[in-house]
Amino acid sequence: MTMKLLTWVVILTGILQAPKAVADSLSPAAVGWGNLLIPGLGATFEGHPGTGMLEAGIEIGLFVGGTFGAREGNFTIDNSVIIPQRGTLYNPLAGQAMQEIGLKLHFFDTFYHYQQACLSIADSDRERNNPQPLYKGTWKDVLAAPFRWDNLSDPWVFLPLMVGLGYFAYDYHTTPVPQSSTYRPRTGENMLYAFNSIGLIPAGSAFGEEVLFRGMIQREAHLYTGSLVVAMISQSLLFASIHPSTDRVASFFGGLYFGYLTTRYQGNLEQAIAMHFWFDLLSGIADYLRFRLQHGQGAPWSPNATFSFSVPL
Amino acid sequence: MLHGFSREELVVTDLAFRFLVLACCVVSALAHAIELPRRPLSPYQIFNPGIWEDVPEDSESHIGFSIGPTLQSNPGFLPDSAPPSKADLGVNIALEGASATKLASGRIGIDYAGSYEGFPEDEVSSFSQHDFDLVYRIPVGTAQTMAFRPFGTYMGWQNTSYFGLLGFAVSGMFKAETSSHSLQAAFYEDHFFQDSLADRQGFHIRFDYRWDFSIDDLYLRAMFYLEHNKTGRERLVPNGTLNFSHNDLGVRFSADWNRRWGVLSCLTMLILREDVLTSSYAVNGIGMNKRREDFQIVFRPNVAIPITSRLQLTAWAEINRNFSNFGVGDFEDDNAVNWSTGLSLRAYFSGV
Repeated sequence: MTMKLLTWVVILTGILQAPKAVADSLSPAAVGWGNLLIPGLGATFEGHPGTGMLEAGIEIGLFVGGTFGAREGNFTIDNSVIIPQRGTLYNPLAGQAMQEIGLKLHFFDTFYHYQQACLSIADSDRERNNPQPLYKGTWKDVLAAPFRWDNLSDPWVFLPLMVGLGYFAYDYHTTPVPQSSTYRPRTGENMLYAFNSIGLIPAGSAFGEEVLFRGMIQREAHLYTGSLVVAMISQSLLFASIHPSTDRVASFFGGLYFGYLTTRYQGNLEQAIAMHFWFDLLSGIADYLRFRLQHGQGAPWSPNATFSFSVPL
Repeated sequence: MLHGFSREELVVTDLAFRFLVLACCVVSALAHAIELPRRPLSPYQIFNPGIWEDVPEDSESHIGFSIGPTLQSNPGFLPDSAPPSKADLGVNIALEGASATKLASGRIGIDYAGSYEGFPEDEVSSFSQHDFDLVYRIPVGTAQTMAFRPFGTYMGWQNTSYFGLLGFAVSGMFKAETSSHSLQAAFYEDHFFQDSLADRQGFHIRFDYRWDFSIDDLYLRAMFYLEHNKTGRERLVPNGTLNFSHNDLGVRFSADWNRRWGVLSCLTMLILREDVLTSSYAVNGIGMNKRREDFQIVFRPNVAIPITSRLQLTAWAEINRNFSNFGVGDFEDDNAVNWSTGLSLRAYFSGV
């Protein structure tokens, strides 16, 4: 409840900053915060209602469509699926995939329209005096960021990743995983689970979350308050609030670190995107292996479930 | 508990209340309660959480008084007046076959609140509805406006607290030369004061999209909405469970054609409601296991003829068909609210 209230306070504070935008121009705050709450509003405000409708249809359609298989309308991200009492895991996994794609696409679109609104008033005092420079990358830059050598070879990226890798390996070997269900997933269900955990969630986190939380929310909060500390804490709290309750503490500190990386590189999000992607991928592999153990299956390549990670550096 | 109702009757009459059908005309049997589709067009869904109507600040305001007969297959209440007035008083005589039900109603609206009182001849169905809708507008560009709307509704039935909702909506509007585009996200929680209906209450997320086009004498409006409702589940029958969480998808088109002699209007509305989970229940001893789907289609032509500048004659017809896969057969038209025709004479008194 407290987290929900806090989320609303931060979002509404952001929206109420809208009138402070440049006179006679479209307010980037209204576009960004407005689109975050109302899918399609950014494109409509920019004079493209057809595009807005298309975005809204895809984003809301995927998210609400996902409620038929996975969670109901809670705006939490990166949840695990619930084993159904009847039927197979296909519906919950497909629902999870739909909700993941819908939400992350919405996050990216929100940033995109915010970015375009900022660029349209690039010469204004609002933009010139903004303490965090705007990230000007396209969707292609965002998708390519985790695989660029410049980003991966940065010690601020690969050293924490190595620590994370060590933690996941240690945790996997030392924490017993009780077999919690008699359900035996089929090959297709295992593949879909692996696709969601190792493919979709890391890609979605990098594609949607970084641009929204660090690219827009931290930037706007820094502008309103003039304080980097308040901005980083605000975006981290929001970031943690939409994660499942078991992940909130880790998400909060993760959000702080990604925010620091963004500040360190003058608004460039690519190091944070790269780190977020690979961290979620390692976490996804560990989650998938645990899922198999919980359902009486070993790691796919060894009946003894021994495994080792290799960092693709 | 409402006076004189068993739990099962309450469920049936709740359906009647929510779908604007007089309770006296609804069969009070549990089997029918299950078979009756949950009509998506409930009054509170139309009013508060629906998309914000941007009434120009310089628009003329009225007090209206209307009187007229309606002929209906299942007598309901008078539709809203057009053009909208600050206050409406009306007397309606609804006919069903040879019998007649008289209904007196009154509605008053100020900038941020409204109240509706209905006094049917049958006292069991008397009800009141009180709303607040605090619209705060912010211009965010040369043609763009945003609005923030805390809103709420309280409904009473037979002088008893019956239903309430509290929510918050954010709207945005973009105005072009001959069109306007409105979008809204609404989040609200509803509450039934009767314990036996508590499983139907829950959290709602609703997105509305509306386009208004003005071409010469023709005014076109298209609306689309999608709503997710997260509720509880109810063990209503032995060995059965009804789930109430659902998604709604609604499309609405309307056209107004201004002629010298009056305004010709037409409204078409389609609403699809699908449950999130499968329900299990029994009808006439036959076990069912279905994910509920309801479908409603409404078609309403309307003609308004001004007799003088303050007197208007309105005639309308409404065809309202409901289909549901709930019950023994799939998608049978239940014929519960089927058609109505009406004629009313409305007097407007300006300058309120």
